Amino acid sequence: MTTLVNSLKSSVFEGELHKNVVTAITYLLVLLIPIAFVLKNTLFIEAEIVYIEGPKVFLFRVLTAIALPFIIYGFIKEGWRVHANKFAVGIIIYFGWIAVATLESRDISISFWGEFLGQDSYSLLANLHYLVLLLGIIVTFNTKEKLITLFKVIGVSGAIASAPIILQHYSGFPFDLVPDGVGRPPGTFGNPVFAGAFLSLTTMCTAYLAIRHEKLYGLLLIPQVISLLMLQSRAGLLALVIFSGVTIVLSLKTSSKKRVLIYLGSFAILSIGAFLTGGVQRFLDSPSEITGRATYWSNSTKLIVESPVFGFGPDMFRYFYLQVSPANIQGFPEEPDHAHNWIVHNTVEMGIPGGLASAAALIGPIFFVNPFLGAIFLGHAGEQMFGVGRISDLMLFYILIGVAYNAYSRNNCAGF
Amino acid sequence: MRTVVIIVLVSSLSVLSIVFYSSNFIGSVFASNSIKRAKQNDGVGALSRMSIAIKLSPGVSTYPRLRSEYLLALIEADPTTKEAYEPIIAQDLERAINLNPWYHRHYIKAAEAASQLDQPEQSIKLYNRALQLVPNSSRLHDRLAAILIDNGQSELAIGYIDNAIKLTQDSDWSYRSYYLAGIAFENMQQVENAAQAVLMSLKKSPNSSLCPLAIEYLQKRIVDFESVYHDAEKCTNYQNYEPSSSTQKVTP
Repeated sequence: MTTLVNSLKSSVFEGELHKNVVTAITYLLVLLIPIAFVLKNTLFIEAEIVYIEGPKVFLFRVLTAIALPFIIYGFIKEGWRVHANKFAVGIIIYFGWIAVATLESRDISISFWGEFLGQDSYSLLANLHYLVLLLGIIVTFNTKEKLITLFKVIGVSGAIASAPIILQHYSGFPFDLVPDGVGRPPGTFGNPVFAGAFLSLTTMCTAYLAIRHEKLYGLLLIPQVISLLMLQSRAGLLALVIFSGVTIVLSLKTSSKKRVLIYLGSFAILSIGAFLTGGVQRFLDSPSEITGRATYWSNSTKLIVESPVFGFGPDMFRYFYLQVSPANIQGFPEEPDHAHNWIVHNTVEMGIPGGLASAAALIGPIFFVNPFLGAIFLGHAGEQMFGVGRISDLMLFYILIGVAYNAYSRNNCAGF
Repeated sequence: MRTVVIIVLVSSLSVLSIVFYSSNFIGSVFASNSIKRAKQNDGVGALSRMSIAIKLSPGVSTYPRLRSEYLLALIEADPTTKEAYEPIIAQDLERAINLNPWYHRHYIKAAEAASQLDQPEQSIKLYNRALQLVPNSSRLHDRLAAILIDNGQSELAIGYIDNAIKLTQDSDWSYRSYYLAGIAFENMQQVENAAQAVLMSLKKSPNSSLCPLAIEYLQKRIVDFESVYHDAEKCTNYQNYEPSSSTQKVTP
């Protein structure tokens, strides 16, 4: 912990001012966004969980707006051309296509600003803020030590975010953050699925850190895995299973075998504990809920066929899905605002090129980084086959892309 | 020098963004407070706070829609305010729709408002637009049918009622649709079809919110109603129901 504090101090208070500011803001984002909330009925826009989303989106956009001039300065100072490589081209194509899809949208205003301003969104404006964050990581976290410190902060963030989930599970959390009709603890994420997406990412990052660099940080896995099991987040656990599987295979040939075995052994013990305490039912329910998701996917396919090149525009999914949403005998058809699959969702909104670009963003980094880091992307890709990123885990996803980019592009990051 | 210019421009953009987002955030706080006041029946307080929310968050389409609902409630409480508030309601709903022309809820609320303000043609137009956005909604088909019936277009309403029944797969939830069909057939002087439709409504849902109206209607139309329908006692609302002598508007 002392080492972490010293690392934080030196990265925030020593060196160039613009990098210090961006570093501090990044740490604030990683630590604060997952746990940001206000009390129910404090805010109103449209979504039921605006008391969760609203503060996160507000904080995220304000902090990235503050960081922007410092990031631009950093890029100018380093030279714009220093970063030209295949990875950079991929990033440009991905965000560039979001801009193109916005211009070709059925409603440019909604695709630019978002359905409901202030809520979580896939609009161009939201993506510009993620791009700012990504650029901030690229320009600032440009050494192996800084990347390690960043992963430590991610691990701590995951541990902190686990606390409300565990307390809610035992009805000990002092604030009522559980939306009506939600049976499982959602922590400070508004929904157990969103919590699972975030925690699966932080858990994988923490495991990576423990296996590759600082084994003591493996202790931070305990609250995170416990909370993931309490969430009964199947997609989140799928991510861990994929990550674990890949990591086992990779570790057989490296010196990390022992650490991998400790991590996997702990995970297995906690999983057995969860099953013994009755956490198995949700997993047995999985087949019927996959059928439910298959309905979203097959209806989304009709939309893709209708507009295969440019899609319907970012943030337009809800409106066009409603036009194909099957009738509900009680009166109104189901109104999902996403396709429950990252690639399908982005293909509906941005056409087949957008879907391919999204798939590349999800899996592409695997081909540029060491296999252990690639395992995180692979695990996350598994999780995103049953959901789409939201503010907290999406923020972390773009941070990881920045980390992957630096790990690939910069000699100073070699060995991360 | 070029770097300085770029940084100054970018910084200005950042500051503007922060002001913009902060304004929206505060607007959402006022909007929430407005809803609390509305729930406490403080219509004036709700209205003033929602007006502030609209000024602070001009891009949020939900707020003008909600303000129009408060104004409609005020008109209902005091009909003398209709002349003053009606233009504002129209403006608010138009604004909500312009900000998000894809959101079916704006059209539904606008159609309800038009109906409440005795503007059936406008209501029909808006429900039609909502149906284009949500074509598989049996409720919307029913609502449009109800407005058409009220507006003397019962023959046209039958088509929408048919669609509603198909969308509910002729399940128990189609009781509304059958009741509406009864009213439509009655208006078309097809008394036997009307009685059959209303009877079907009762059979689909013996204790629905419409069962008192259905029973009252059938008792007047079918000579020996009790021998045709044996489950009248399942309609628990009927015991306290007072038959109406005036023409009742159709509301599914």
